[in-house]
Amino acid sequence: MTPPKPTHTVLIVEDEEDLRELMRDALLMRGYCVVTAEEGTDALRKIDDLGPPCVILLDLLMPGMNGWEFFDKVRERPELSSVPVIIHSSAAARAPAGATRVLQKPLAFERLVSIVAEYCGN
Amino acid sequence: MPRYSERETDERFRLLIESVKDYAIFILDPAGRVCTWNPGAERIKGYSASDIIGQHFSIFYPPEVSPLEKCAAELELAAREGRFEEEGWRVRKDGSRIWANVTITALRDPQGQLVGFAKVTQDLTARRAAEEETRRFRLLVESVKDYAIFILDPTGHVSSWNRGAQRIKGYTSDEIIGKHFSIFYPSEAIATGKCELELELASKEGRFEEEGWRLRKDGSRFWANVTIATLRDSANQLLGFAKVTQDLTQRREAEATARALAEQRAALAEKARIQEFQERFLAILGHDLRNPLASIDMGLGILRERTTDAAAANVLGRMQSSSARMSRMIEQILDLTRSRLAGGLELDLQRMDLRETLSKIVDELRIVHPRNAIDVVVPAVNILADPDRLEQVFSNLIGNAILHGDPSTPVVVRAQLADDTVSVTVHNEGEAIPSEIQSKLFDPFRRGERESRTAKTMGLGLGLYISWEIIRGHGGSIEIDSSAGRGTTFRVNIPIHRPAEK
Repeated sequence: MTPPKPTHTVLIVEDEEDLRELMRDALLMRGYCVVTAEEGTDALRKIDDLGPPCVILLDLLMPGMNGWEFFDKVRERPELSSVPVIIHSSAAARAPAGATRVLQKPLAFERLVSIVAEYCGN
Repeated sequence: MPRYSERETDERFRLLIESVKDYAIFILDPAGRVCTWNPGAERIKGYSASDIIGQHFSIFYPPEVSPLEKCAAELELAAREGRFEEEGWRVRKDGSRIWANVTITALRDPQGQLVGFAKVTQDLTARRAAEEETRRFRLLVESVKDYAIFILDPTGHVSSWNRGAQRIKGYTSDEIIGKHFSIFYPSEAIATGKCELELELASKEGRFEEEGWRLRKDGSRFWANVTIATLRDSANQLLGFAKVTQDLTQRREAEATARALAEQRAALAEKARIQEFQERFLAILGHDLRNPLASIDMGLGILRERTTDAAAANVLGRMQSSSARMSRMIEQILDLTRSRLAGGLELDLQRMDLRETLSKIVDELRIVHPRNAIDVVVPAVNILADPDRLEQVFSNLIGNAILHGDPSTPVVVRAQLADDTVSVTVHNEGEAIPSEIQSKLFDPFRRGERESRTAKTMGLGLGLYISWEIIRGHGGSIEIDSSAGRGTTFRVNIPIHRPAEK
């Protein structure tokens, strides 16, 4: 299997399985490559394997490495410093400073695809 | 009764004196030398007859009193007065000292010639020690300041008084000695016969102890620990009662303070517990409920995108709007919970253009309600406020005006500037809000709205309550004016907080 082109890959970091899979379906329907992780450590491993995505959709409240810790790690790495990170959380009010965009859950399908399109084009 | 000759009498006296052991009885010659010695003398002074006969009696005196001069003075006095008596320290053969009562009597022959002295010495050391102990004990009792220690006679009258008693109760000993001890008790205790009962219990049990209110001389009350001990002589005859009273008012107050502190701590712990519960509740509401809702929304969006069946698309559309309504209700419940339970709504104050915010809301509402006219007359005004929260307030008010107003007339949004306040009015024509509902319009979960709700107003009845909370959080107010002739106007007053002039 050939790796997806980096410019079209969306990384979803979300611990709730149903939501994670449905977001993936929604973006796959729009033709994106989608990589999913259920917490920060898993997400960093996938970035190491597959290279930087064009956008990261990040939940904050997660078991394991949470969204705040993951965000710090991403911003520490030069090759990821320019990757947009969109916070999608129920704790949007506590989103880390410097996030590209902050969205309050729940996010409707249409909003999700239009926002991702802003950053990754299609 | 037998009669004795003089000689026999002398002999018997000698025997008597020789058998006395409790007194040293002996004779001195006129110069003060010891001539006779009895067993009492031997016991008290420690010398045997052979040791001492012929010695001058100054040997019995401690060196610091200048024995020779003192002895000469005593003999001279005894010779002149016939008798000399004193109490003083004497020295035993082994050098130890005794406290002695000493009597020296001049002995004269029938012609009045001095023939010597009779000396009687009694050892009072033990008695003196006992007296000294009593004296010290009395001093001790008298000087104790922290306890009232005094004695009652068998009928309950005060017969001694110490400094502590004076300090605690306020009476001097002159004022109190002879008074009945009921003077220390509050009248209600006297009425119930408490004083008599205490003495009765003390004499029966030997001791009585309690804590209770007592009176000072000035009439003020103090909390006392009281012990009454019965005093009896060796024949078990009641001599009286020793009463010891301690003022525990401060301790009692300290205990009360400590109790109050403990209660306060418990209340704080309870508050913390409730707070933790509230935080947990907010977390469940905010996170755990929203996540599955996010899945439902997302899934409905996907299905609606994929379906080509018009009927299925219609069903999915209704499910989407229900899901969206549920999201709004969760937001409202969260706002209610924060405002009511968790220290109020949080506001993110920043400088914002009110006209811009109002225009944005009106533009969005025009898209949703294309058939309703909305007129906006708002000057540019820069205020310090939370733009998202104000958007929430005015969407609610303008949305309500559209839903409840006469659709044939426009909803009018105006803003007027005063010195430090901007007043935004949202006006609609049409049916007035009944006056009995007007007063409860800003209550949460209003019955009026819930009972009369229709498809277009379906909600929790929290919108106006939350709007009011938001405006209140900005230091402003909302007023309402609604009547059949004038229509309905909501007036929102918001402080401007102009930036300081440079």
